[in-house]
Amino acid sequence: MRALQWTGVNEVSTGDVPDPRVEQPYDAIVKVTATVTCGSDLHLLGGYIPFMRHGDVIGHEFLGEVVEVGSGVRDRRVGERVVVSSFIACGSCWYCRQQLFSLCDNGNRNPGVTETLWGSAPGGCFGYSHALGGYAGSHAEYVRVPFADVGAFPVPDEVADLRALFASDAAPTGWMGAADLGEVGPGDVVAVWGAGGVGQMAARASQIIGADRVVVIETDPYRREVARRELGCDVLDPQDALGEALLDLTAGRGPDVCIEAVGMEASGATGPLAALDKVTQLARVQTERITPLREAVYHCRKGGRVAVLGVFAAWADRFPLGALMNKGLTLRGAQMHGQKYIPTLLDLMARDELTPEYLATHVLDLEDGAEAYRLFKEKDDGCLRAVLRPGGV
Amino acid sequence: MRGRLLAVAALGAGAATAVALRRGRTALDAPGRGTLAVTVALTSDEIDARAGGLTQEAADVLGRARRTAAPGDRGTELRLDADGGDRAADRQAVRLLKQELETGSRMPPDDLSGRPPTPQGLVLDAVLRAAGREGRL
Repeated sequence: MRALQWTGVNEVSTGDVPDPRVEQPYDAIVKVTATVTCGSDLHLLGGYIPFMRHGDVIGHEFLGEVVEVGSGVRDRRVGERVVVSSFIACGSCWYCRQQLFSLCDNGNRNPGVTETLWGSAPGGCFGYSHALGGYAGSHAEYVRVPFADVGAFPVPDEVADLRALFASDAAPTGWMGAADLGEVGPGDVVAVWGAGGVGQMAARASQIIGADRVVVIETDPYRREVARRELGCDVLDPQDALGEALLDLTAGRGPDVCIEAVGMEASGATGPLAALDKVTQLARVQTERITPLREAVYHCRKGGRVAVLGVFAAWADRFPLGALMNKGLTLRGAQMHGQKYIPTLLDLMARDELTPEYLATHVLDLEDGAEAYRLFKEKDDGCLRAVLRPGGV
Repeated sequence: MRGRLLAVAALGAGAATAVALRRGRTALDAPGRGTLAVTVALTSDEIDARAGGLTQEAADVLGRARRTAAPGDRGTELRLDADGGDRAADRQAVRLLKQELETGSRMPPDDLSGRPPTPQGLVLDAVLRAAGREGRL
């Protein structure tokens, strides 16, 4: 079959790979009909998560049709249109029973890497390096879905492909950041750093949950405009007196909940700390550039909550621990527990309350995967997300 | 070329970090070095009920393991004495036992065979070959 493969730092190309097959009784094979670029893929492409092997198939956010199921699959049927959680979880271990699906004990086939780096291993993820299980990704004609009864969800007929697609990762990540990590509630003022797909979904989730006011902080003027237009929220440029603006917005308190949705390659930041981050990351002395996270901790109100949704790999320097401790903040982060949120999100999508299809600014054939990532990485032509259609556009 | 050098640098840093962390935690792990332990989200009775469906290898490991009830609702702690044997193999066997008991299937390390050899890949392959068998367990 055809698939988009990582072939070196900042190099991807569409090539031939073996068809996936049912390997375990709980597997399904899904024919991919839509799969989308994600900002976290850029960390892989750029070599910042150095556990990619030449030829690995990337992609983790997708939708498709079930074409084969293993003998143990009970709930999924051949022919169903399904959206699949990007994280692979068994549904049976203690973490899955707590609905902490991205922390599944059994989803990661190569736990030694992350156990060593982080103390214990999170679950596996499609197309996200051998550190997270080495599973083939979704930028392909077909993908093997382990534990299909747990991770694949039928899409209601009334929800179109390009809407349901974002229930795979961006929407549940944003929902988790607002609902669970940030514990957003009525009356809260929520600040979201980053107006990519995840940031916009976190902002929308905050609105749905009942936040009094949501402000999106973004360096890119086009993305700010999209957030303002599509979500009706306030937007701020972090380089334009951000602290004063947030204090003004909240009458001197600071946001109740700050959600970081940028990750380890924060761009556009200026000043000595940002410059030092860039140099030390380039030299691999540290692995992250965390300007938005520093801002979130600094500007959050006393006793507030900071949620980390952006992907980070290992270590960050000059983290404002003093502000965290002395202001009594709660800091939480997680990879998303999609299996917990996807049914709710599909229901919201069916009721037209969550309409993320505007994120799909570009739709290309799988053969044009390299161009899709160029558009996405360079934010060219107003690209928010580039969708690949393996069956043709 | 710059990109490839960056990749090599990143890989080197990652590998060095892994080694440093492993060295750093040896002292912490010292009291339990002879034991491998996992927590299975099943009661001891549930484990017995599923034992008949295990592979022979997993059943052998279960037979060697000591059981204690885990605190709270976490299930059962299984401990295996691993002195003198192949610790990496025992570690992987314990992981697979947990997988079989909890999920009814096995998730062995991913297969890197068939990939084109590359200079950077040699180092990464070595790290990944160990990744399914090593770790803190």
